[in-house]
Amino acid sequence: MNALAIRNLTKTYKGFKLDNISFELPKGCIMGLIGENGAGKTTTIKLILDTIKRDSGTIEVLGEDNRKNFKEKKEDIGVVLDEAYFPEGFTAKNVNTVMKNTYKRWDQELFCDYLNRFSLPRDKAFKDFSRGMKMKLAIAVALSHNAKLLILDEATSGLDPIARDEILGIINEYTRDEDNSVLISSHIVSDLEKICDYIAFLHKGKLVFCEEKDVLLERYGILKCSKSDFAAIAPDAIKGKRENSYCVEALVERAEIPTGFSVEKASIEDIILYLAREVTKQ
Amino acid sequence: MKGLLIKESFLIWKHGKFMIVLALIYCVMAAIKGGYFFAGFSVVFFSMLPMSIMGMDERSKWDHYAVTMPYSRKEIVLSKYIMTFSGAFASAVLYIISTMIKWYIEKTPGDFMELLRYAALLLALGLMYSAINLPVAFRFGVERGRLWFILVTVLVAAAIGTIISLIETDVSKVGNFIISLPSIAYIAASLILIALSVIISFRIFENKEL
Repeated sequence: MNALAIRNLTKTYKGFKLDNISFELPKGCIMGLIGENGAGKTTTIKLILDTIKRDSGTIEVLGEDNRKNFKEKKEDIGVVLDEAYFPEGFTAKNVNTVMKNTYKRWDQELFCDYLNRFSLPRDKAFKDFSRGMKMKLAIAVALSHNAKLLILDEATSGLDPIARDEILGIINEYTRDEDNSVLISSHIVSDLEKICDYIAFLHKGKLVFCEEKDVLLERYGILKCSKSDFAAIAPDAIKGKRENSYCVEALVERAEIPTGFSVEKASIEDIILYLAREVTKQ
Repeated sequence: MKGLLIKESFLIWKHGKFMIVLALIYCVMAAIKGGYFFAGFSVVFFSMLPMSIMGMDERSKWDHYAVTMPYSRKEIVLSKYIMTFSGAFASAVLYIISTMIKWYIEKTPGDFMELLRYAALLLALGLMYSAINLPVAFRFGVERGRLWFILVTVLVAAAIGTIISLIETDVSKVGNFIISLPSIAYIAASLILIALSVIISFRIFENKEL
């Protein structure tokens, strides 16, 4: 079963179109939604959460259309938006009281455990929290009602590397239960490369690819060679290239490269940068 | 919806203490001095509380978050109306209590039915204030909504003034006519207005992209 199934999703704004995107997030997996600012990541997440209306396409969340009985389904979804939108004067204690009366399966003990783990004060006003503390509080809420699907929209952006690493660790821990799935959007590729099973790359409103991370890393490589040697490579094998007067550096499909050429390992960031450049050229 | 109402009451308690104290002072003044001026202020202050909370929600983008929780959009809208109704009702009850305390202290009991009628008028006033304001706030946001409200109030006042001058009627006669109406008429009119207002707010908020 898929935690998410999106088919032919389209949403048009003035000056931007999320164009006919389709992908599936299998249950128990973490999917990273990568793209530059304005690529359509937040729009996709808002459409999944049905907070904006789609023009066309279908969205299934945990096996059901997100327009049917979605109020009940939201019990199973933990959401962390790009900011933690709690009222300024709220304390962690207030958040607990409100959420206890919001989610049927709210686990107060678990929430308190997260507060301790994140060293979050219970009585300090939310407006006096640092950005890291605010995001940790939002994550604590998202994880404390036994959600089956966690959706995080740029939850790690603006955080220091230590806080980011801590949050990524918790997300990883959450998916140890194979019923739990995560969709996390970010433009920090290295973060997603650490934890994701699947990578979906959005560029200017179009889905460039959605693939298993390991398959991507296995399929693509970086070839560095002279221009004359490069001429021997089949054009279909070349997915993107950078050249200067002496040599060529290209993203290639490893399987298509003749023996004798040295192909280095490509990172997800390399793959994305090369493919984005090619898509932009087209 | 319980969580939403708890959240509203937390915010009112944290940020609306000053307004609650002012509303209480106006309420007591209304009882001591009599007349509608202070009582009207008291009701308007109480009814303004949910608007102030909406302003805070706007600043913290709470609604963007609330729609991701297991609440329907209708529940989010209704929570504001319930707070408004509670504020106006509390104000009317306070007016009754403070007037009765005044009667007790001065040992001059007044007409209780007449007091109830005034209280009903106050309640209706509070509900009408919110019935007009809330859909505008849902549509334009609280800050822009306030400007719209002032504009509409000025236009309505100008239109009423013009109509009164055209039919050559004394303003006090109109006022006396309104006061002479049975209390059920105020309450019915305000409830109809609230029902219409809720329907309009539902429609606005359902279509709002958050």
